[in-house]
Amino acid sequence: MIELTIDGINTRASEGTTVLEAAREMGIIIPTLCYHEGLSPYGACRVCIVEVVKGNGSSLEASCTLPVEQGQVIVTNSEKVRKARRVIMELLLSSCPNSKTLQDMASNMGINNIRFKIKDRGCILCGLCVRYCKEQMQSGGIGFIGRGISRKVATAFDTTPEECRNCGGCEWICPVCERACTADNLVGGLCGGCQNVVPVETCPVCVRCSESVGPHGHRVY
Amino acid sequence: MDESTCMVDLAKYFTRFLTEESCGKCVPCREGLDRMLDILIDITEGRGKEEDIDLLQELGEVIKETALCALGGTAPNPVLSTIRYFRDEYEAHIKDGRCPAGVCKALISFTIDEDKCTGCGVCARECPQEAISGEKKLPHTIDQVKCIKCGLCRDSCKFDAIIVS
Repeated sequence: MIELTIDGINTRASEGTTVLEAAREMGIIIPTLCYHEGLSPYGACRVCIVEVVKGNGSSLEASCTLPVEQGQVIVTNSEKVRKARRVIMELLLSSCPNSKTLQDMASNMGINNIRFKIKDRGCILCGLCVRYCKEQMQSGGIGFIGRGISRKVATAFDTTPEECRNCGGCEWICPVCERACTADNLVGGLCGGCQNVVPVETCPVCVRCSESVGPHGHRVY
Repeated sequence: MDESTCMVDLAKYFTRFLTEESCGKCVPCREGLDRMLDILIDITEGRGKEEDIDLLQELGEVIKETALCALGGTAPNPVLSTIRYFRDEYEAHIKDGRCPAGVCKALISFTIDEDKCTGCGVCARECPQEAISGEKKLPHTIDQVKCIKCGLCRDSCKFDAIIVS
């Protein structure tokens, strides 16, 4: 067993576990996007960053890919972590402004405006679909093509590959391709608040709405 | 590199290169550098906002700290160090709408110094836009509407009569 300190609490974790797993075991909430229990860690979204204290300084590391080490000191919710997470959430939202998962996460962190130019790409390249297809369905029908800003998830030669069994797993696991928020007046590109849209039967209540309407005056859609 | 190199333009050049070099796996490097480039383009084209400098610094620090690999870890350095040492140049672009080095085309204009111009006509012959006119041996003028700010007149003038402001 390896002994480490997370948020000031001494804990033990077996060798080979990640800091994220150890923290979740203790009930500490670390937000994640590209992490999934049934899939290999990927470390692309950087939302799960934690502060690793090293001597007098500290560095930020993605907890989903960081293995536990003897004597490690981890802080999961320091000012530094919150500041960096905020910028990362804003970047994610600016590339997928209509995703309810992202909007909810942002609201939980108290983010209600985006300072960056909004470029709706409809994909955050978290790689969940690619890993799900390969690791859980043993198919490998989809993968990444391109690099940098033109990187995207695609099938080979843009045709339906033989490997694809139309299982729909990629759509099921995708955190951003769900029904988009259709409110008219989006605040800085975020959820506009469902109270502005009638009829609203299609809108599952997001955190932002419950905040703006308040717990008592909230209409249940 | 000297006083005729615009530091914002330099940061933009490196950031554009690094945006292309980014593999695109992690969010801070892929999206962060792209947004950083957008802000730099806005500043060099005269659309900069006062809060942009702080935003660039905050974004740069986050990219540096959270990127997956060393490319992302060093990619914001050109922006961060030009802001650290040449903050006044950024401020000149944003607040005064001018490029001190005379590089950012949206923020500069070419004029002819009447005292220095001998009316030799070399600039008029060089100008691809035929924007320069004037009588022989008399000071010439530049038509600002036609001028594309290519700088050929400045390069060809033997009397340093072309003023970039």
